[in-house]
Amino acid sequence: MSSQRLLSFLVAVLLISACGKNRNVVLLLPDPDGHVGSVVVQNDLGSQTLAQAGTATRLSPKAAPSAPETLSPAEQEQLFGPAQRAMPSRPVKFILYFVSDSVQLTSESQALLPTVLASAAERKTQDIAVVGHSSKSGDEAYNMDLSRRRAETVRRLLVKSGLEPGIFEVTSHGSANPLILSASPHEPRNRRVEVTVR
Amino acid sequence: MRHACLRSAYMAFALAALLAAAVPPAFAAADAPAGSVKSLAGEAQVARGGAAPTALKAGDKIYEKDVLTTSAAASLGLVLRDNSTLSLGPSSRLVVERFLFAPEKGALASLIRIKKGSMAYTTGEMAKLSPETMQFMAAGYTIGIRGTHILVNVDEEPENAEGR
Repeated sequence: MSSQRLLSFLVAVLLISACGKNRNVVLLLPDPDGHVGSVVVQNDLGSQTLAQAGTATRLSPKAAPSAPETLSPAEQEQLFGPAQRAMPSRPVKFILYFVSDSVQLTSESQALLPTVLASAAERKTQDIAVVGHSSKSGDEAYNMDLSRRRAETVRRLLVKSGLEPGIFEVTSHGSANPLILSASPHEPRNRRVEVTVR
Repeated sequence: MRHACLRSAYMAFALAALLAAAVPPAFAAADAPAGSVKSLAGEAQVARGGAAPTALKAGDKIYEKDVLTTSAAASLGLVLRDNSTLSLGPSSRLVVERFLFAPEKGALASLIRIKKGSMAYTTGEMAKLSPETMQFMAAGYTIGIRGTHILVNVDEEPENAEGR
């Protein structure tokens, strides 16, 4: 009985202390791939840089951001649990390659299409970006048109395989965004379409 | 307590709607969307260009100047154009002040304001191409992100922090 009372007392203290804290918080966590970046938080009165995963700063209206601290797991859950669980998984990008000066997929890339479709189904995607690119050989107006036709070809193939036409966003960049900065204007890895399944 | 909160939220909403209605719809939404709704639990709404807020559903496009809100037990997940991901917890309000991702034209810009509630954000290609571009605002503070995963909670942004 007394231990029960002690426990409820402790819970009450914890609740009160959590409630009393300033709830305007910025928290830094690692990226999904484990990399940790940094965050700079500032107002007219000062600035604070968070560079260590799991550190947080509190924001008050008439003060500089507070010194970095580690949140208790309970407070982190209370403030951020639902938002964290609502975070969508990262979009997946596929790169499909083409035979020179054509809208013909290489056989390896042709074989990748079922994987693209599986990813679209698994993610129940409603948003796919298809971006066409070309290598540097030839003039840019031609390359722009070629990269557009490549992107259109990929979209058509995916729609034929059962994806909704309305979920696609098709653009073309010509040779402006090479994947490989190559000395050769004929670099085959630049003849590509990038498909991002969001 | 909860009632008072709700009431003030509704009043803020009504006020925002009134203000928006008073201003002619001169706002020009960039043609390209800023992102799309990936996931949704409970009710979330968007207020756009002075129109009354409408319910969001998965697949809906999000544009610059959109004001996104979630209800008391709701959450919302977005994928933005640079493949960054953003989520909102319950009772949250966020404004996509600026989001332009057109690297082929060298055009990159971003400013997201968290007015209330909780947000999680994982950076995408914009932060890789131009780390200084990723800007958030909350509680009168600016938050610059150098390629990472951050969470922001704001109880209620004071209105005088608006112009900062």
